[in-house]
Amino acid sequence: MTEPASYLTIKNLSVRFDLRSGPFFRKRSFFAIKDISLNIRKHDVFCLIGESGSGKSTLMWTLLGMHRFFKGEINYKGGRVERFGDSYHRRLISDAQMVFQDPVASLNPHLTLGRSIEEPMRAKKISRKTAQAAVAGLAEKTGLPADILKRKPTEASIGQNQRACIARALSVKPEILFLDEPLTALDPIVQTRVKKLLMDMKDAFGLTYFLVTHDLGFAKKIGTAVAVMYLGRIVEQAPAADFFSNPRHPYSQALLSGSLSPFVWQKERIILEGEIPSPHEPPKGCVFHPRCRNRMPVCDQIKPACRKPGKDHLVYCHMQLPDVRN
Amino acid sequence: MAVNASVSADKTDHRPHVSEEPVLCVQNLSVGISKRGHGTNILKNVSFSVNKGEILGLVGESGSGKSALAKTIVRLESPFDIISGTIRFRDSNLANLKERELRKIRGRHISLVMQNPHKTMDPVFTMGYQLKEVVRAHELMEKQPASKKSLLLSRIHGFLKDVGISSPDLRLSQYPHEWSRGMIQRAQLIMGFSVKPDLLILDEVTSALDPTICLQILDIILRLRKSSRTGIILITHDLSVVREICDRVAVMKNGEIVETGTLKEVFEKPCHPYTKRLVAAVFEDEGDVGK
Repeated sequence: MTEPASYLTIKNLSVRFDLRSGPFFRKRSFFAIKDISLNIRKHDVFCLIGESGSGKSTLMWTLLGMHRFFKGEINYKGGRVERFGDSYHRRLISDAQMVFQDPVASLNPHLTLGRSIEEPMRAKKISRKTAQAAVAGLAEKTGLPADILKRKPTEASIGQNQRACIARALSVKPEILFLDEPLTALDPIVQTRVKKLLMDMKDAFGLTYFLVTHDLGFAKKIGTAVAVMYLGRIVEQAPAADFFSNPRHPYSQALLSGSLSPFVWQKERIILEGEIPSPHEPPKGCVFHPRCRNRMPVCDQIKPACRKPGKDHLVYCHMQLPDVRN
Repeated sequence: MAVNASVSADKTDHRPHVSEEPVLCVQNLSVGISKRGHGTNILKNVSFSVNKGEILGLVGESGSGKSALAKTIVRLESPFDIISGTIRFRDSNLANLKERELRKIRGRHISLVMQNPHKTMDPVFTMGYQLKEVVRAHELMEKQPASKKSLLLSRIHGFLKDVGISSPDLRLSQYPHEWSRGMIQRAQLIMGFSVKPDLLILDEVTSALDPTICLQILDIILRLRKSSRTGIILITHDLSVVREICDRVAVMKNGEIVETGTLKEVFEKPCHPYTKRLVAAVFEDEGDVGK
């Protein structure tokens, strides 16, 4: 299914935000994302994992033009996005759609679910008649009964709302779907149904997924490539099968061990001490060293270089990378 | 980073702390809109018990009545009323107690830790002020002389250290919005356990937390339970959490408890169709993503 040609490539992308505090004439800023490089292939299910505050959503929003990037480049279908909002960036934005975490909050409370699904098509100047016919087709594909389409978000269940959000995203036939924790707000049974729907829709529409998730069981099941973010940096990226069978970075191991899903981690649990530091003052050297059980004197001095323990498997760590087959 | 021998590695490891003596016994509890029974009941004939040192997992989908049950146990069920049933706790029926008597029980003998930690803290006071207030309130309830300021502060520092919150002086001078969700949740847990209550109700304390922080919270719950032998009701919709730390499970659906049993019974041989679906949803085979 995956194609070798690059589809969406990010090179040394950095996003900087101004600090609100501090003197007016001496504005300070911090890097929410620093020097990120990724390669996403067409039809990939690219999973971005990491703790809250690691910059996953910021990266997604930057790709979708909701944040300006400070430096770096984005290549989409061979075109190079050099500046925020240039013609290649607009092409990426128009080919993409997004599904948010909280379905009720991401739907207009005054519109029925049917109208919400229809709205992106109307924005693209598709006639009402064609749009309504497409809504009926999408509702059928996503398992939404016709009577639910006449209800408002507060009158439908959370699972039905999330289905409507997925139908809305698919209504303009996107090439790439950005999913920002689409399962977090759902109950286990509803989660299972939405997982199945996402897998079916990927095959039916030939989509590429950019998935931000805490559900590592789902990432393992559906993902083809995985990247782990920590404090705005990528610490490990690998093909999904390689990553889940043999995570190399100590943070990736701790993250996987934190998953309570029975299929993700079978070995002893690794409990990380403390919390992710503030991106305003990131630790020197390796950003993970204050919480790392294997830290060495070099870790707080020098930024780790990229190592390549396997094909397409990149790890940013000073340590000799042991084989820790899971 | 500490390598724990596993939060759950050996379930028998935490069974010795469980005694057969029930700390809470709820029988045929029905809660609804009016005492005349015209409205729909939100809890219907709920019966269960919690033993000393036991963790009972209460699971079910959103709206199944889990949080309503938690609030009813501490008699904060308003605007609903208890229609029938008993809540036996320390030789008294909480369902019949007056507000003045209930105030003596809440916080001292039964603690409730709520979901959404930021919403449960007052945004205009520092965390230090709010934590000191809790300790002082407990001293007053226990009719102990008020601790000196320095002693109170060192006690709170000790609590924070227990749950892995560093730089306590700085942290206590900060406001709730400056603390992360995981930190407030940890602080609330330690405050809940600090009075060594007979019963602790944890309402979705791990939902919306990162996996690494969730693991820290579960580890703290197990450690504190071990030291205080408190009976715990852990309300969650995440069966993986239940499997990790609970001794027994009760499954709720539409205001009723449809199945109760040990972990083994519920996870290996679920009887009720809803429990079967719930278990299948979480522990589905790798290749099969539910129906």
